[in-house]
Amino acid sequence: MTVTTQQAGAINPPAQREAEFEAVFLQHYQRVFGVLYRLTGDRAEAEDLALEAFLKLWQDPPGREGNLGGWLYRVATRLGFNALRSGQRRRGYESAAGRDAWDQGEPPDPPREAERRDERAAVRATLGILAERDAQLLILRHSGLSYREIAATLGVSPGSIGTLLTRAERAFERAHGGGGFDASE
Amino acid sequence: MHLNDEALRAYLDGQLADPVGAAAHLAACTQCRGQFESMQARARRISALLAALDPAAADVARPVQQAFSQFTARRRDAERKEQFPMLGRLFAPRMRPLWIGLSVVVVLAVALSFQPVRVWAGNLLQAFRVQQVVVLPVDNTRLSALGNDTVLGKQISQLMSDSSRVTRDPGKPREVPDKAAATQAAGFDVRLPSSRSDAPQLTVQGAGEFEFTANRTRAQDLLDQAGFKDVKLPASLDGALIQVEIPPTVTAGYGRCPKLLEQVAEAKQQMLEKGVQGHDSPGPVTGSPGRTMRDCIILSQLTSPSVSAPPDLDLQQLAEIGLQITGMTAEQAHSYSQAVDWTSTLVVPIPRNGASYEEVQVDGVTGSLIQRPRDDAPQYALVWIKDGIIYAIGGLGTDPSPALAMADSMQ
Repeated sequence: MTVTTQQAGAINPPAQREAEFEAVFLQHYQRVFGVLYRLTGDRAEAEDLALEAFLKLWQDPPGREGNLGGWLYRVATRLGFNALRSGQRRRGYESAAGRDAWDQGEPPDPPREAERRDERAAVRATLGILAERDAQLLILRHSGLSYREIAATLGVSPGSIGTLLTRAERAFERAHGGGGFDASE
Repeated sequence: MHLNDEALRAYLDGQLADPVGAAAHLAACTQCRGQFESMQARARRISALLAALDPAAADVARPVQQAFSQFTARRRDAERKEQFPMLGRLFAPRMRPLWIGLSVVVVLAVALSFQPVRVWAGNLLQAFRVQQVVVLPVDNTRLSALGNDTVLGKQISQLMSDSSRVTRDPGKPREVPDKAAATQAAGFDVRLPSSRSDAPQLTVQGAGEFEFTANRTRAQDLLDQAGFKDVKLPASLDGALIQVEIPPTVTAGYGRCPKLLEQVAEAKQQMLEKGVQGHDSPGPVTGSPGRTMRDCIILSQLTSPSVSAPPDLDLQQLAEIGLQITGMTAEQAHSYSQAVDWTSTLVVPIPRNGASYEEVQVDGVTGSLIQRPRDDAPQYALVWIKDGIIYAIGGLGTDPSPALAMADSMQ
């Protein structure tokens, strides 16, 4: 009977695909979460976006020749930057850190904690105004991706990551240190 | 020769292929060392700033296995939402009460993506017997937003449940040994494909009946809430008693369909517990097929279900309402509804973007082949009507030729 062989021979038998996908999930989840946490600063949002990225990978995976990890980090950072920017838009000109605490009716922080929060908001704000590729480079490298992995994510040669990273750091420093940067932006 | 920026940076990051050579050069070359140190200092400053973003101890990711379970749940949820009922699924015993609704009219189009309405709408007919099948691509985006998970979806489910009642228990599905026994139990001549030499898993479920009393006010209220304010249900609907009779159904499972019998039993149980409420658990040939189910092909056959309703119900008007709910304009709905004989046509709605269909010649008649080319679980369904019996074959995969061969060899 031909039925069995035709169907069993179909590309991507579902059970095999599920097993492969689980392996990819287990391998990358923590790091994808780490990237997204750094961009959003919120555990629940980072988890939500990480699952979203994996869901997109499941629903619309890259072709055979595509790099799966690269695809995943590209989608995840895009989701993360969208969240970061929309969070900043939402907050408008108000101080992100202070205002959040106020909204949530939290008691005033000890000065050190408030300072840290301002610092985080400032770093995120800087990432938000950098060219997206620069911001991606910095976050992905800081999250522990190798040059090869970053290259696959950004679609550039692994042999250029060092140079690009150095440039991104310069751009970050310019945006963060000088040029009238304002943490409340 | 000096080290370039790329090499210096890669050395700093431990990503250089030849770190020993670079180290030796740096030890000897003041210029490169100066550049390296300045690069290193900047990298440290930036790293310290970015470290402010690292997850605090209280904010580390949950255990990855837990996250994976959460992912699986979300994935299934997403798949359920995008699922549309293939005929294979509709013929699955669990879905049978809904299938009746389905078999009735275009209003049923709604039914497919908007389950509670499906039953309600499907029953608003006078006498109905399926004689032909029409496939109708519909835009279900508006409807799928109103799934059973929403508050409105739940209200609709509640209304359905309040309004309907099983009047005849279809009984426990029985496994039968062969075609002769199936014929005897079902009361019509059961046919099986000679293209298959393997023995199918045969079950027969007895006839069932349920009735439904329409509550126009509540139904209209829910339609309004769902955003269909322009749709007005006819006054004649109120209090109308609609009775549905489901004839015995014979199901033949070929290949490895391990869950078939259990699902049959579960479906019956669910029908008794919940009246005509069906639920979106996948039938035997849909959902995420397990590794043992991929060669499962299910053939179902039954005579037409029948529905009776008060004669003063305006069938065409209800059909038009159903068409409007599936995304047609009032004019399109009017024009389409006039072209269809609503008392004899099984309208099978399929999502415009999620499936394709074609007419095929099988078993000496014209049948409809519906294919859903999903990556992870492509499915097909073939439905045709021959000598008053409705046949449907559902299977997994992208190649429907086994189903076509089966249909052509029925005897």
